Amino acid sequence: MKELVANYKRHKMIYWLTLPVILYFIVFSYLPMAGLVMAFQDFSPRKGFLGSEWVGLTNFVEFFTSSNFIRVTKNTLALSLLDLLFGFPAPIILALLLNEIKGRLFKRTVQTVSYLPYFLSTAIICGLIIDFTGSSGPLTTAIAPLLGKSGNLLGMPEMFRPLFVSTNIWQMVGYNSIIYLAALSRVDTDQYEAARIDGAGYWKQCLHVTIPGISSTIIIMLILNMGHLLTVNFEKVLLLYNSAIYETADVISTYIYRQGILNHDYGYSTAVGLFNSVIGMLLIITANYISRKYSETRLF
Amino acid sequence: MDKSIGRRLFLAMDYALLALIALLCLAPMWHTLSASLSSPGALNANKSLLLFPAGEITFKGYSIVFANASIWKSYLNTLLYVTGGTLLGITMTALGAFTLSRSYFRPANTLMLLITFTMLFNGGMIPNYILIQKLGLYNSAWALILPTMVNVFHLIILRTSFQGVPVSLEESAKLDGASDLYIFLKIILPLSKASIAVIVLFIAVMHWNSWFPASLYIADRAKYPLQIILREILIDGSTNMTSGGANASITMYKSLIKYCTVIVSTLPVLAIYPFIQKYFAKGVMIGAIKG
Amino acid sequence: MMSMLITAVLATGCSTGSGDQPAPSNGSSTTPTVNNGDPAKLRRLVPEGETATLKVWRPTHTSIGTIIEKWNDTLFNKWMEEQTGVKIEWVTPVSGTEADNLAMIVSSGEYPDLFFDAGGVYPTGAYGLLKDGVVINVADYLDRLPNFKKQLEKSELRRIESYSDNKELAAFYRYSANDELATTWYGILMRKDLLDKVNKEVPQTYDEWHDVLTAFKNAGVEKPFLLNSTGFPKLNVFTGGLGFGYMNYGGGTVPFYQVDGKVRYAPLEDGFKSYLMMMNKWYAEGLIDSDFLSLNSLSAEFAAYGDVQSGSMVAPLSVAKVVKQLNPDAGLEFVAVPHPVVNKGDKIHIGGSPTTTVSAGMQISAKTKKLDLALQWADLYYSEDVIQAGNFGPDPSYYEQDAAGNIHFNDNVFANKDGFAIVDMMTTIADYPVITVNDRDINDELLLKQGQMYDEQNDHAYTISSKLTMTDEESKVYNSIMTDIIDYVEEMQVKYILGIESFDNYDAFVQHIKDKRIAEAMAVYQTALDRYNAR
Repeated sequence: MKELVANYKRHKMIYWLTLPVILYFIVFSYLPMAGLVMAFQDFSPRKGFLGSEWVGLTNFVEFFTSSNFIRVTKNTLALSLLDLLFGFPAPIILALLLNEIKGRLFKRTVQTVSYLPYFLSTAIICGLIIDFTGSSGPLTTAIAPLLGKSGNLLGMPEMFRPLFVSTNIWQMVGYNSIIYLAALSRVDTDQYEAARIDGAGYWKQCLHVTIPGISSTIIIMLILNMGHLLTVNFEKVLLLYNSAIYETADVISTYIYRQGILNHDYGYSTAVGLFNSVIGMLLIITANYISRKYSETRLF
Repeated sequence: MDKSIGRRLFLAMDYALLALIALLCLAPMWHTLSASLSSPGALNANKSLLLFPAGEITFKGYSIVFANASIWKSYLNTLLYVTGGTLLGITMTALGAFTLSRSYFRPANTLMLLITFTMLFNGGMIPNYILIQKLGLYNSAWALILPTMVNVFHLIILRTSFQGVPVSLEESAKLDGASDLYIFLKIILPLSKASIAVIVLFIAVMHWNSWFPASLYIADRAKYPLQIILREILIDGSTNMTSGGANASITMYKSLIKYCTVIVSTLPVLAIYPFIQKYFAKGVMIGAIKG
Repeated sequence: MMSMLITAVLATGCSTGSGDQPAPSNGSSTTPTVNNGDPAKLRRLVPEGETATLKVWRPTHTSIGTIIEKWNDTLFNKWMEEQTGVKIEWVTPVSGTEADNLAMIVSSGEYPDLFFDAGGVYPTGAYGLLKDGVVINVADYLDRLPNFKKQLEKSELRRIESYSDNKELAAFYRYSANDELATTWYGILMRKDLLDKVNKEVPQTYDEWHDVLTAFKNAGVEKPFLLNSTGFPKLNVFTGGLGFGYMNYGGGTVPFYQVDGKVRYAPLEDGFKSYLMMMNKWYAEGLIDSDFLSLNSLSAEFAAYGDVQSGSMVAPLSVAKVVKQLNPDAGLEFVAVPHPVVNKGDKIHIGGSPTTTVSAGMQISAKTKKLDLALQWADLYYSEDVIQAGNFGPDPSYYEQDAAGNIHFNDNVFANKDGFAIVDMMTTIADYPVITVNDRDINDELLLKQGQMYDEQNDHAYTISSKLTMTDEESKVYNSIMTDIIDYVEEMQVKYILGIESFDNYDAFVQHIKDKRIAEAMAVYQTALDRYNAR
């Protein structure tokens, strides 16, 4: 505490400059967080937070003991991990590929075009996917020899994860690469010079200058991604899935959605959301700890 | 510069791969554009990627979209919200990122933990609605700009970027008697143009695409942003069976309208990106400031 | 953040029956006042020179944004404001967000003065709003509501459907003139041109259906029959002939039906199994659209209706005309096909019901400070000429009266020069009839005839009224059990049709449902049904 006061005395301006932001988070993030109490209540909009009955962990238990809990959690994790495995490196690789190009016009064109799919609504992307994977769709016909069978691809449980993840990458790689492109532009050109003088070829330069140069960005992004491990694009799953492929396609958010058709239970959905958040936060803290120990980068 | 065979081969593959990626990314947008100009009957029957509009070229979809009385007003509203939101947002986010990136600011790490916390934990719709009501912001532009003023993800990106500015620059400025504010404005900001540009883009796009806060907090049609009007055009007449059936003619157009609304909503944003791109040129400033 | 919840079907208040409203005096002036002008004075709720405002929550409509800017702009509302002196401030949530918007208003405690059609959106319905103390019990004020009382007491049906088990009135209910059901607008369409091509007659039984579909298949039609992603046609159309009612997809989630007052659940009945087996066979033979799993949205279904490869479909009857308009060169002709039955001459017992002619309309908030005004204003809707204005609007240029005294919209509506949808035009003229004249929006003889064909087949004996209510304890039991069972059955039904699941395990499937305590849920529902029948 004493050190804090001393620190304040030495750097008054920094403290005052931070104040507006702190106020913002208190008012617009922490105050409404009081609403999380819904997770522990049998919430009724009429009774509000103060009047609704307290039920402790009942909502959570209800979720954990629901008949499909294991399946939907497994599916959610599977999709997120696959997304992490393939979808996380993709924008980095794209950024690096672009970085090697000298042709300005080509580079700019590819950059601009690559982030177009991000702006397409989920409904359109899913519409395209559904058309392409229909019984006589182009994609179905194309991969039929590989699969050994044909038919609506979205009716095959084993196809859902590859389709979902690959189309995620397709839609997001350009937009996600922007951050890395910006990070790449910050890498000190002097360091490239020094490496070249030391005789490093293009590949070595990439390995020893470029990647370390953007490593802090990569690590921070990775840590942040950990927080969303139990979150999957709800709208996209909803538009693509059907009851024949629930075993791989039904995720936590869609399951809750279906359960809500009879109930509209805000307490229950808040509880599930809270569960997701807690797991996410634990993962971020863990990732941050590991990062602190083995690299110079840390989120907090 | 001498290039080895290996390097040339690599570059060739690089160009080819990038061209392929560009094509794959262009395809769906091109399809959307073609679809938006197609005739509804042919469009409904179509099951493949459209290189050209299906059936006859029709502007019927666009005429339905622009027939909505509120659409032009909503464009203006969105411009207002985007401008206000972006200016306020980037200022506060950059300020926050700056202070939290200073190694001599002791509470920084703890504050970062608390702030990251807010990224994951959210009270949900109802408490936020009540808050906006109690603050008297309901039905005002502030309800759309203030709550989203500082996005944690953006804050973290900028902070990481600011941390990357060489400490030596800061120290030499301090020796010359520079205040924190001076360092922020004259050293950190100029050297972080790329990241600032990126975050400006992200904030602008976020506000441009935003519709959910407006659906919660805005009561007057005259204040609706573009996305709400577009959603209204898209959803109307087909959410429930009764009206969907009664308005069968309109529901048949739904596919066509879907594509038109995306083009209407996206084109303006796409126009901004080339301006942002120029900040991505490599290592521009650092060499200049040094020495 | 869990943002999107389901949009429930809004109570539409569409009802049927021939209009029998007393005609306004012929040759009257622009505003339809009744003979001696007194009602006009009665309509003035606020003294001259003063104004009062009421705040009303009301879901939006397709006509807002296309034809009008806000609810105030409808001719009916303008007329009401003029006549009563009461200005209305409408609170209209963004389309699709009604349920959440209502939840937030309720939890914030800041209520408007009235709610229109909130029952279709609130999770526990109009009665739930009363139970939760959000709205008043209208029964307490009935003696101050002469017009409403008169309409309420006109028939036994209205009494049963309006009053709760505890003799409360949760709302000002909307009725249909003569309590008649609106003509069905949803049915089965089959491609006439394909029928002619394969030289077949319109099928009447399921066996005949099989023959026709097989003929289609052999003639090269890729999708002889369209099904949607749940495996069941919407609104119990097509399955009715098998003697069960199930889920009413597209119209609300009611998994049960009743036979002679006893609650039944279709998956436990033989008819369900025969349906699944039939669909399984048809699917295996390629008679069902192999992509039916992807028809999980209205737009996908509507797109499929116009597909030249679609041989037959369960769809709104108006689709026939629309498809022809959009594809003039494709030569697509449609014919409406009756509900298939097992044996010729069988009746259908499910789908629609006279009880649907009663729906919750206006509700007055329990917190309003303008109760007297609100009561008077709401009661006004039930007076003779306001009823007419609510059905056909205050402007005579939009309607005509025939010799028998019946009023119909004229071509200013049906063939309006701006090409607006009839439903939208109708709403911008007359948006809130509390006693609805049926089929106001249809001038197409063919559609009426086709709809009547379905109505004649149906005796509505198995439908359970949506006004059935459960107590809080009953609801808890029901929700906790049924959510899971519904989900399980929905997954299994598709698997049976696709053939992924073999019928050898069917008994295990039924047993599984029983293990999930279906009997308890049905018992609870039965209690509620018994209470309803005792009204």
